[in-house]
Amino acid sequence: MGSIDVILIALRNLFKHKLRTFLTVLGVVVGTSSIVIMISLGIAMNESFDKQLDQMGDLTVLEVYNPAYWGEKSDLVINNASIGEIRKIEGVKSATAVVEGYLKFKCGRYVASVNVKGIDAESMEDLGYKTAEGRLLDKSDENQLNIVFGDEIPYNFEKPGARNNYYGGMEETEEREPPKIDAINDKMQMSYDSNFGEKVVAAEEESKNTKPVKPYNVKVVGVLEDNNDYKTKYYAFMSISELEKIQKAEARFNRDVNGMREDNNSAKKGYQSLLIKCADIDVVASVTESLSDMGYEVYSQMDYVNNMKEIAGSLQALLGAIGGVSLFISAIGITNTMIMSIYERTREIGIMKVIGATLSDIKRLFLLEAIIIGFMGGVIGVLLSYGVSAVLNNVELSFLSMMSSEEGNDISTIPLWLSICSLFFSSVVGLVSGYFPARRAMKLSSLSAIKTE
Amino acid sequence: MSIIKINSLTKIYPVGNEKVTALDNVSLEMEKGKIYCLLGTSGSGKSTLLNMMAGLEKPTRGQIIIKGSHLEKMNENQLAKFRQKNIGFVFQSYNLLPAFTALENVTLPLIFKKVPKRIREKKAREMLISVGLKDRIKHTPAQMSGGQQQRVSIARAFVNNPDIIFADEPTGNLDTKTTLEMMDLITKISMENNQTLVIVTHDLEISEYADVIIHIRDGKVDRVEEGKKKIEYKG
Ligand SMILES: Nc1ncnc2c1ncn2[C@@H]1O[C@H](COP(=O)(O)OP(=O)(O)O)[C@@H](O)[C@H]1O
Ligand SMILES: [Mg+2]
Repeated sequence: MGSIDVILIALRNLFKHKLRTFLTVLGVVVGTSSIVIMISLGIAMNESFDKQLDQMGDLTVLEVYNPAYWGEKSDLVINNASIGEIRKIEGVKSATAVVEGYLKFKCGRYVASVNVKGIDAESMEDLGYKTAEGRLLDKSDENQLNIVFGDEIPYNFEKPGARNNYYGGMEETEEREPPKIDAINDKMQMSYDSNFGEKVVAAEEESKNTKPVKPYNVKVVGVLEDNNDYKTKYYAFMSISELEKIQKAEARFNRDVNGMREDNNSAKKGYQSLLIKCADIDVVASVTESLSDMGYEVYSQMDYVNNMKEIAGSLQALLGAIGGVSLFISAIGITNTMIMSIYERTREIGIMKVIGATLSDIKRLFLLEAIIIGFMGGVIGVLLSYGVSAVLNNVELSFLSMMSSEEGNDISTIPLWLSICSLFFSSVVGLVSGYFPARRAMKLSSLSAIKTE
Repeated sequence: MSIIKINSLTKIYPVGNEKVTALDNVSLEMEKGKIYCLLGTSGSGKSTLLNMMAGLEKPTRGQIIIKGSHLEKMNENQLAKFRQKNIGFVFQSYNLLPAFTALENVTLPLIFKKVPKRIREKKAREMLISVGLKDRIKHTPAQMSGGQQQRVSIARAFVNNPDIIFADEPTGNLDTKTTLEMMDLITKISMENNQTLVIVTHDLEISEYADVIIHIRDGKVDRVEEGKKKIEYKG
C-alpha cells in the first residue's frame, strides 16, 4: 500500500468516528498544552532571571567587608598590607580599598546629598565601570578633587528645602524631568557640612556661633551609564586618598566646633571594605574560596545567583513533571482509543487481510491513525497554549507574577522551537501509544476476525 | 495441467480435550478455467477446505499447491502477496468495509497491490459497471440492498483479474431470484476471463452451475461428478 493511500485511509477511519477521535485528540490537546505552558513559564522565569542578572551588575566584582571597621570583634584588619596580599591571589585582576562618605554637593542653586565612595582612582576601569558622558577616574586623578557620578546622582539635585523623592521609584517613570544641572560643565562645590547650601534657621546659626565650613571646589569628570546596578547608580566616586583627607578635616572640625572626640583608631580599623575584580567569571568561585580561607567575609552575587539558579531549576523540573504527567495520561488515552478501535474493527482488519493487505499495511495504518491523533492534538494544543499564554501575560495573576519578580515581564514565553518540539513530541507520543495496538491488529487472525459476527 | 493440487490435506481442530477432524486426508486437483462446486451438508468441512486453499488457514497435514507454489510453506506476508496476485474471495456475508463507498471497496485490493490511482479507479469503475452497479458507485454498503452489496463484493473479488475465485456460500443470504442473478453473474465473468471458480454450497440448485461437483462428507471427498453446467460460455 502506498504512503498517500495509508494516510487517506487512516484519515477516513478517524473521520468516521468523529466523536471518539475528537475526545482522544482532546486528551492530547490538554496534555500538550499543559506541558507547553509549564515549559513556557519556566522559559519566562529564566528570561526574567537573566534580566535580573543584568541588573545585578558585574558578577566578577567581589566585595569584602571589614568587620573591624563596623565595630565587630575580629582579628582581621583590612589595610594596605592586606590589599597587597589579596592582589597576589590567582585570578584577581585588581583590588581596591573602599571608603564611604556622605557629602553635600552644590551646583548653582541646587543641592544634593550624595553617598561618595573613595576608591583607588586607577582601579576604576578594571572594575568594569562605563561612562555615559565624560571619562572614568584614572591614575592622574589620584590627588585631584575629581568626581564621577552614578547615573542617578544628577537627578538628585534639587532646590534647597525641596524633598528628595528619587528613592520613591521616580526613576522608573518615563516622563521624568531631566536633571536640573549639567554635572560635567557646571561649577560644582562639595562639603561635609550637612547644612551646606541649605537656608539655615537663624536661631540655629546663632547657637553654633562659628564660621561656616569652607567648601571644596570639585570637578565632575564623568557620569556613569545607566546599568541598573544599585551599587553604582546612587554613588559618586572619587580618589580614596582625597576622600580620606576630607574625612580627616571633618573629624577635626567636629572636634573643634562640636567638641566631639576624634576617632584615633581609624588606622587600626582599616578600610570599610574592598572591591575585588576577578579576571573572569570562572575564577570567581576559587577567588571567593581563597578569600574565605584567609578569613575574609566575602559578599559575592554569585552565591545569590547560584541559589536562584537552583530554585529556578527545581521549579522548572516540577512544572515539567506536571506537564509530563498530563501528556502521559493522554498517551494512555490514545492507546485506549486505538485498542477500542481495533476491537471494533476486528472484522474490518480481517477483510483487509483477506483481500490482500500485508501485515505491514495493517500496522502502518493503525500506527498512522495514532500519529495523526497525536499530531492533531499537538497542533491544537500549541495553538491553545499561545492563547493561554497571552491571557496569563495580560491578566498577571498575582501568584505567577510573584515568581517572575519583575513587573512588566512576561509570565509565559513560547518560543518557536518549543512549538515545533511539542508538535514533534506529541506525534511521537501518538506513535509510541499506537505501537502496541497496531501490533495487536497486525497479529489478528484474518479468519477468526471474519467469523466474528 | 491442474492449477490447484491438494495432497492428503488434513485439518484437526483441538476443542477442549477433544480433537475435531474437520478435514480428513483430502486429495484433489482442479483445472484452470473450470467451475467447481464443493457440495455438502453444514459442518462437512467445505469452508475449512476453501479457507486452506485461500491460505487463510494452515493445514495440520498435507500440501496445497497453487500454480506450483506450496501455500502450506508460506508465511503471512507471502500469503498476502500471493492473494493480491492470484486469488479473489467472495463471502457469504459480503464483508464490505462500511466506511467506504462501493468504488472504494472495489479499489481496495488494487490499493494494497500499489496500482496507480488513475488505473485502479478506472478498473474499479469498469468492474462495478459490469456487475450492473453503474448508478451505485458512490453509495456506501448501508445504502445498498443485500444483492447490491454482494455485487460489490463480486466486483471486488474480480477487479484484480485473479486466476482463481473462491466463493463461500455467496448466495446464502439472498432470495431465490437474486441467487440466480448472482450465480449467472459470477459464472459469466469467470468464464469470460478463463478463471477457475470454486463455489462452496449446500444447495443442489447452485451446484448445477458447475463443471465439476465435489461431494464433501464428514471431512472427506465422497465422490466427484460432472455438473450439468447450466450456462455455456458463448464467446
Ligand atoms: N475454528 C474451529 N475450531 C473448532 N472446530 C471448528 C473450527 N472451524 C470449523 N470447525 C469444525 O470443523 C467442521 C467443519 O466446519 P466447516 O468447514 O465450517 O463446515 P461447513 O463449511 O461445511 O459447514 C465442523 O464440525 C466445525 O464444527
Ligand atoms: Mg461453511
